[in-house]
Amino acid sequence: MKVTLQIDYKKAFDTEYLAFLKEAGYDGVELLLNGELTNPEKAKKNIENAGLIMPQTEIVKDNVEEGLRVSALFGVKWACLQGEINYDTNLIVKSIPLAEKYGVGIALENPARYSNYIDAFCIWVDSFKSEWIGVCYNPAHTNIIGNDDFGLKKFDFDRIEALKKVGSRIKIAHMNDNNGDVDRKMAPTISSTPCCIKWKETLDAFSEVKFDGAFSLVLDINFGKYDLERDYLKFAVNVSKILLGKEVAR
Amino acid sequence: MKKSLSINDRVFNNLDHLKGYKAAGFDAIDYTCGWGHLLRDDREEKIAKAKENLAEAGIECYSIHMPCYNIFLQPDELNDAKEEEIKRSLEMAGKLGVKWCVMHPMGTIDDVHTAKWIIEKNAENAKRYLEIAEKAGTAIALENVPHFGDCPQYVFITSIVENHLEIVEKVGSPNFQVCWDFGHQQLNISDADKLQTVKTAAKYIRAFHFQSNYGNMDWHFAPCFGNVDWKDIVKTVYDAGYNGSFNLEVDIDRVPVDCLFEHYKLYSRMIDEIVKDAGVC
Repeated sequence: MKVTLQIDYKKAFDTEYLAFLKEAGYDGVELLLNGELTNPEKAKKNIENAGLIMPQTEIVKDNVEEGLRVSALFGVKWACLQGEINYDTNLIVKSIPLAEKYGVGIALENPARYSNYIDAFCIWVDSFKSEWIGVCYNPAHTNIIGNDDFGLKKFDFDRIEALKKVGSRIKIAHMNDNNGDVDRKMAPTISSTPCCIKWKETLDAFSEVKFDGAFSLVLDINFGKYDLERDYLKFAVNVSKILLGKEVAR
Repeated sequence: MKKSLSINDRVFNNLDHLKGYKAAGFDAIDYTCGWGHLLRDDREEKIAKAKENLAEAGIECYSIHMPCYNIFLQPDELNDAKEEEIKRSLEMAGKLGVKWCVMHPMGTIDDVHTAKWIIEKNAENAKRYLEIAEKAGTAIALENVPHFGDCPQYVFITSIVENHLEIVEKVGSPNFQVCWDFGHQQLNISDADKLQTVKTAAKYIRAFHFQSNYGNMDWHFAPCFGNVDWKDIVKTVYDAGYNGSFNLEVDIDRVPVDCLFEHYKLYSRMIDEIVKDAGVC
């Protein structure tokens, strides 16, 4: 798997930042297509010039068509439809023709709270009966299922089995960690509590379902410290690569 | 200022990891000993090897976390096996040149167990442990355990700073002082003025556990995660004369071994930032 980082659309115009990501070891970026999507050609060029790939995008529910249009321009095959869409079936039904029009599939993300049973999520995804609908699988969302607000177990839930059930529907993988209570979007392994993600088993399951997309880090970073945030981004890519069995320069 | 991290056996007994830890910027260690090891027949060899490894890596074992009883037990609920572990941990600390052995208190205040009785019993136990510690050439620091929001019915004795310091005063030795856990303080629902509490405890603090959380559970996160506001409280501790190691007690128990070096580098940088923010370089 290539390691990518989700970044805001406006960051595609920050060439110093893109160069830093490349230098830090990221293979690419996933653009979050939020805000006004002006000058996408320039955004694409900046990313390419930095030597970064863009295997997928994330689009927002208020701007699906524009998101898909820009995603097509970037040449991606799949776009994640942003986060908690509360099973908005009507929105998806209306979006399928647009996905076909632009040739970009829509990956529905498994929600952090609503899919208490992954079977229900799979039934919902399958109900669209469309090759343009897939899944953006986020193991950190599944990690919260079955726990209370303190991250303590409320009921048994097999997270690895859940991933395998979603299986070939998975087109995008969003990666981050938490301690089982809240979707904190930490870098992998930052959480080391008994409720943290079991990364080896999780990555083995991704291999088993033959997922061949990117390890796309989606992180909340709000340290208010420029240098430390950059060190954290380096940490995140290095740890991700180590988890994937890749060499990391020390 | 020495930087340290609380680590357990998988690093402590591994010279390569100790060298990586040193290379990341750490020069001291807080050892959370595998307490079962202290009961093994080959413990003396292990301690000697650990001492050799620490020396070769150039790392000081500044503090250890002593074996502790279940947090919910009262201070008269002792047992021989745990007492033996505690004794051996103190003897080990002496051999490793450890300055401070961190000890949890026992006892929660309720209708049957008064604060006065719990303080008396803790002081009594502490004096017994201190005798062993001093003979071994080390000292003991008593940790603050909070009044947790997720189990508000249990008021742990050192969640009230006056009780904590009264135990220290009753033992009455420069070799029995305080270990301050910043994450525990953050969780303490009965500590409305956290800065004032640290000011009250500051002159007794000889070791600390810096860790963070989001106010709901004792997660032991690194400083930038969670909402422990470190600037003023760290400054208060150093202004009171603290000159021990800057110790992070971050939970890394389940971090894959291959990833640990990345954690060391990040945490070392975080300490640098905290120290800079607090102006206590």
